[in-house]
Amino acid sequence: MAAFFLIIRTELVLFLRSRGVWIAGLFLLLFGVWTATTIRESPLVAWNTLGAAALLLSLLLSFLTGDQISHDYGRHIDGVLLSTPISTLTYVWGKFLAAVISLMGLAALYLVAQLLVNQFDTWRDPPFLLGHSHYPSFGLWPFLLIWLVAILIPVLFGAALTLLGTTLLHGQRILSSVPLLLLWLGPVALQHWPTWLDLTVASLSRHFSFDGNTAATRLVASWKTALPPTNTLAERVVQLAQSDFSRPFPAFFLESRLIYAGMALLLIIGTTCNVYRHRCHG
Amino acid sequence: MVILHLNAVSKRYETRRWALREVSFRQGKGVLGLVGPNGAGKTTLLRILATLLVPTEGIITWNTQDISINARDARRELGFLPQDFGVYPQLTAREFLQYIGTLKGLRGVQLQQRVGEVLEMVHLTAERDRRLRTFSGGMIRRIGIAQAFLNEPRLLILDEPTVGLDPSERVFFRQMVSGLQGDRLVILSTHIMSDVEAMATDLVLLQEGRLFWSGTPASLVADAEGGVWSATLPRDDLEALQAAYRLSSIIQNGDDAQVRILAHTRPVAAATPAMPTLEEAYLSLLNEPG
Repeated sequence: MAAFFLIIRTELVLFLRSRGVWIAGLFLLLFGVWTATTIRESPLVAWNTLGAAALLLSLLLSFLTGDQISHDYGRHIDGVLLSTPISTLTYVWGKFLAAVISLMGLAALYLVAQLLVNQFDTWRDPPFLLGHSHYPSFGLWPFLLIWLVAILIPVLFGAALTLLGTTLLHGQRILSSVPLLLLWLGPVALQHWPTWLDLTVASLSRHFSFDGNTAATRLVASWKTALPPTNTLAERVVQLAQSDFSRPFPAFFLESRLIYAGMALLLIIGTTCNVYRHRCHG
Repeated sequence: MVILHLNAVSKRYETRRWALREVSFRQGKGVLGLVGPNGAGKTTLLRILATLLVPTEGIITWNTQDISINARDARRELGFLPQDFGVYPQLTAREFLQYIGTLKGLRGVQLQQRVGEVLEMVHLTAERDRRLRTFSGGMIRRIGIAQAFLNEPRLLILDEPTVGLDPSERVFFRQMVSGLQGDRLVILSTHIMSDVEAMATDLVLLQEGRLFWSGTPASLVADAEGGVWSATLPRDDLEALQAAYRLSSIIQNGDDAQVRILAHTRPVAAATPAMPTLEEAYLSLLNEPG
């Protein structure tokens, strides 16, 4: 077990000492602030905003890692590492879990930024691209829920897919990114994408008719005066938007999460077999 | 007592090219020099011995245990320096050695102690907390040597260990390997015959994937006796001589040149028999022109 934890720790150190990680972290913090303020300006489409942000974020995070094993081959460290008594299972799982922890850490920055921004009361004329806050705080639940269902599993799957892809293709990022792009953008672009195969929340959004026909949008549409809304109306809109996040998930959505979690496991088993084969046959 | 035994070991890659064909030899403790031209199969053989490849045919036993079946046991006793050795540039020398040491099964005080010892051995103690990205090629090679020695291996496999080392580091490395004590086998692959001459107690020559010759360096030199000639000739005659024979050394001296010629019969009237060096013996044996 010491070797397993050491591999994780070393990979985390390598990740933290790489040049891009701090830029990525800063970007995710700003992205979290931006999505939180966007929702506070326009809570009617909170679900779609958070869903789209989750899609972009999980795709971006999946691109950030996955080359831990192919880098070992490329840097010619594999000969030394694989001639030690370490088991192939320990080596691959250590690399994978380190990637997941790294990505979850970055995704946590995004979540923390959202939760912090959401603690503030209403505001006007914020700097840069940030929106006004005409509506009261949204609470923690919508952010946590989207993080859990639309970021956690996709990042887990994305990390497993890129690890296998870059390992099989000896670090060729472009080729190994093709299935990733297909699985992430397919459900958004294609109306008839199988719902059980949807890694994003696009099918769920269509199922709940979140694309413009919610109780909150109907309420605001019936309201004729200009912004800012009255306090009573603002609270009512937020309540209705929050209720979007309390609906029970349909079976297909839970199935898709389970399918992708299972596929992540199979991909890691595939990577382990590939490394084992490499270890024996070069 | 350590015994490495190769029995008809062959390796064929997926391209259907045989990299090794029916290589057999038996070796006890000492320093075994593995030499041969490029593409002779040296690196393939070393990677098989380092348990990074499985032979297509044949068996390798290390102390009577088949290393393909008991790879994990063999790896516990193994130190390996590959030809292309790389590091994690973001780590310091100490962090990198601690990482490799832990993977080799070292823990706690023993790990810290060994890391300190191998850093001292390769003269990098003062640089232990510097990131490896700031190291020169020679220093990285020394880190490679250090990691191979971490677990005090009984089977030490070194593929071109002195490439990138400066002359003083090379001399130091030779002394270090020659001075290794205890019941252990060092297998050393190199193109630098002076390294073999300085360190090897036994020699194996590979050519086109096959075992071509094995024995001691002294017996290789003895086999080549009568095949090396020395002569001092006008420089103008050099071109014709080079076209007909392989010259192992040319020392220019004014209008003359002092040459050493590889030939089975007297190449020129002025030539006198010379005692072959190990490099000349190796070249003679490979049946090079001359």
